[in-house]
Amino acid sequence: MKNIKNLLLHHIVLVIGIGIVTALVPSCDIVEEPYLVKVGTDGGTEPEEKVRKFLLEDFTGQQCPNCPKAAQEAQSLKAIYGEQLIVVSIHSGPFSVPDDSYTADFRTPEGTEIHDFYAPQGYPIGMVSRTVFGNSVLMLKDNWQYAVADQALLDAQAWITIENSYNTSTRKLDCTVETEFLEDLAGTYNVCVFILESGIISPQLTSQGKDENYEHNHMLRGSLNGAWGDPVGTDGTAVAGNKTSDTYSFTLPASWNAGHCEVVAFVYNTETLEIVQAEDEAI
Amino acid sequence: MDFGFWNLEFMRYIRTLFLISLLMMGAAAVRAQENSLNPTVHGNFQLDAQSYMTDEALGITDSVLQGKSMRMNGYGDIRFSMWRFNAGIRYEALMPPLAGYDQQYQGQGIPYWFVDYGDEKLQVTAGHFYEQFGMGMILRSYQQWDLGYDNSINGLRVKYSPVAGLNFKALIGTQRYYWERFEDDNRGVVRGFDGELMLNDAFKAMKEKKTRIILGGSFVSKYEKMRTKSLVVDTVKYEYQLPENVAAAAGRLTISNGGFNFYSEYVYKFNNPSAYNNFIYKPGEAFLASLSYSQKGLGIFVAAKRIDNMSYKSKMTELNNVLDINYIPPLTKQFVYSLENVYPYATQLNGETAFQGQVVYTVPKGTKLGGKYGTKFELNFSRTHGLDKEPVEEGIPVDSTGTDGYKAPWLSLGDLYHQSISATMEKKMGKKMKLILEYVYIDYNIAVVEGHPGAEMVHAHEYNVDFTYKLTPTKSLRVEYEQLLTKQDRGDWAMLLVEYNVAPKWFFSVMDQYNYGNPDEDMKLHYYTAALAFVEGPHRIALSYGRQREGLLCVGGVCRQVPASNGFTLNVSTSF
Repeated sequence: MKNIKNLLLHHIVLVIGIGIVTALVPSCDIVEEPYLVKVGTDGGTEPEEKVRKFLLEDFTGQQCPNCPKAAQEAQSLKAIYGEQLIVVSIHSGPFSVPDDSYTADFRTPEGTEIHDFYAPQGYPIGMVSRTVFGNSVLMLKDNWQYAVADQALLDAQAWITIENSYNTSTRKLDCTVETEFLEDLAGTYNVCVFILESGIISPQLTSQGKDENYEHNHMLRGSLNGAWGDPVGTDGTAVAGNKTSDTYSFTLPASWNAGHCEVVAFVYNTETLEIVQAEDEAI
Repeated sequence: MDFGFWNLEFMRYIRTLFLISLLMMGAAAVRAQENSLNPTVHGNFQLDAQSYMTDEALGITDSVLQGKSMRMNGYGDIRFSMWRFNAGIRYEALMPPLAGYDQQYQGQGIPYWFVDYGDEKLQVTAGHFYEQFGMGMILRSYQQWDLGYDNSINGLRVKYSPVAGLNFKALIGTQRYYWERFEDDNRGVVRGFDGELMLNDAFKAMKEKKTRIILGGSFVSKYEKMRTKSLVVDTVKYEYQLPENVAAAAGRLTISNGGFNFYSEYVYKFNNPSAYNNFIYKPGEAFLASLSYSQKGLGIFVAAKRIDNMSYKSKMTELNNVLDINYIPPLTKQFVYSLENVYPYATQLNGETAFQGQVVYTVPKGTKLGGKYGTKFELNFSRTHGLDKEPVEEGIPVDSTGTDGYKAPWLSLGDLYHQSISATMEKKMGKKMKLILEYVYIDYNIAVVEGHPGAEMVHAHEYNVDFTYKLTPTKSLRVEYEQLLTKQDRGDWAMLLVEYNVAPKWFFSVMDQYNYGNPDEDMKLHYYTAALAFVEGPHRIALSYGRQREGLLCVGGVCRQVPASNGFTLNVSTSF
């Protein structure tokens, strides 16, 4: 009996051992250069792959000492998700009120309206595509990565194209936003168009104290169609294949650096308020 | 070369064959060995729960807590053994995980189970297992409850010693990924082989030699289903050519003679573009060498290592502390005092060069310095640098995705990441008193280690006084004073701890950490804690209340970020 058992054991070992070893032998793929193979034609006529793009809205303020850490977190997520993630910093709430040492006022009527609607109680806090994650739309920076990762798994349900035309002498911006639904969706949808500016050097309170030369990025400067936007097309219904477009004109105030400005457009469900798609385009 | 599919099919076949064999073997064994069966059951349980309260000074408001005012991590581990069989199961409940743990572990279930058969020559494991090849730089799966870390492998493992002094290990499986089942290729398959030859045991001629030599070699490969990944540069779209099979090979050598012990290991990892290295194709390398000498009262240890692009995960897009195939040991002293751990070092897997030296010397008793009981001195030095990266080609920035990334000469050092110099003295004074004095100097590149670009390098001095006084044979009092001085980051700290121990059952302590040097007036806070614990045999119950400071918690160079908190903590553990 013992011999049979031993024989059986050694056979098993042999089969498994040989199996694993032979499985390992070819187990290395060495990639030769070029590592990147061109798949689109020169000049970019290849249409961009239609992926889900999502919005990270960060409620912040120049006197909020922990907000720079949140901005950093947003930046590291941006480094990971690239074009799929669009960051909007909304200066609003008690920490954004100017005083003698922080004189700049970066608040906007639209930003304040959105802020007061979601009514955060602590800062920094943010929303990812205004979608409930865990049990709240508002979440701390440490949870952003998970909410963003969730969004990245979703397919695109709509596609937005932005075309900007900017006249440097008159500072007039003409912006055309085209929305296409990729599938039939229930409910009605609004499109909202924001204008953002980056590279603004202005004092910020940090956990280390006041930073006089802090660089504020992705700052919400205003909206081209209000805090809540307009219905997509005539009635906001979402029918697959339907393309609608709107053009907005806006003159940039002289104090804004047009070279650092971008237009952000997003489409959201008017009932759940969840954003289904976003897009950005530099001016 | 698409052998991955074949491997998976083969694995299924082997698994079926194995299970059938196991049943047959089990039946045969029961008949053959009925008289010697002696089943035993062991286990241990642990529960860590914490309540979270609002604390305006720490910035913890109701919206921060989001209603999660109570969190708990708990597990129960049960082992069953009979004759040559072992089986085990672990139940875990993290509902929700304590703050500072990866919240994706939220849930409960059985993430770990195994059955195992083993005799002197052979051991086979089916199910989940932990394994390490060499120092783990090519493969290590382990669990660290305090870190919330678990990268167990679920599959098959065989260990075989055909003759004395020769050991083989082979394994195949997938790693734990939170609570997710392995399906739809949501992670890769890990395959590994390791061989070890102990020359003195294997060859008669060497049996009596004083010098002992051990040789080892490993090969590990990960198969992950091909995914498409593209990059758009100036409106031109490119697709990455990604390897489905990523392999690594390692060799190691141990030589010992008397009190001397030399260990060295080298790992080469083939092209492994991943999110962790920004999808560069440079091969990875890891080298570690250490030499130690010990005799009564004296221990000397020196070591050097160089790591280049050595993150090796079984999923190329993963960035969190999960699915690591390998583990890079740190060459920094593992500090024990609280304020020393304000600036702990986290291993930088993308590249670092480190050196460490340590001397432990006990001045013999009866000498002037040694006194009646001897005096122990410990000196430690460790220094870690980044790599000195050069562009692969003129005009291509370092670390550019879709390239070889960079060139890094072996003998050239990059930025300083971390340095610690410490001196410790431990002295017993009479039968009742013991004193430990320690000084540590730390340079800490907070910009790299904690990821705060632009932040200034922290230079910190740390002093500890640890005094224990035995009041009676069972009652003792311990007082610890710590001071951390730095002009950077959060500034100076002081800490006082008083512990009262009634052996073997009761334990009380109060502690305050005070960040009196914080440049922000509002953050000059006290972090106080009061704790009591009750121990009876294998059962331990501890309750504490207090504030926890924000910071990194590291074990072996692997870290997690702990947020500030305020509340009660309950720990219950037992084993049988």
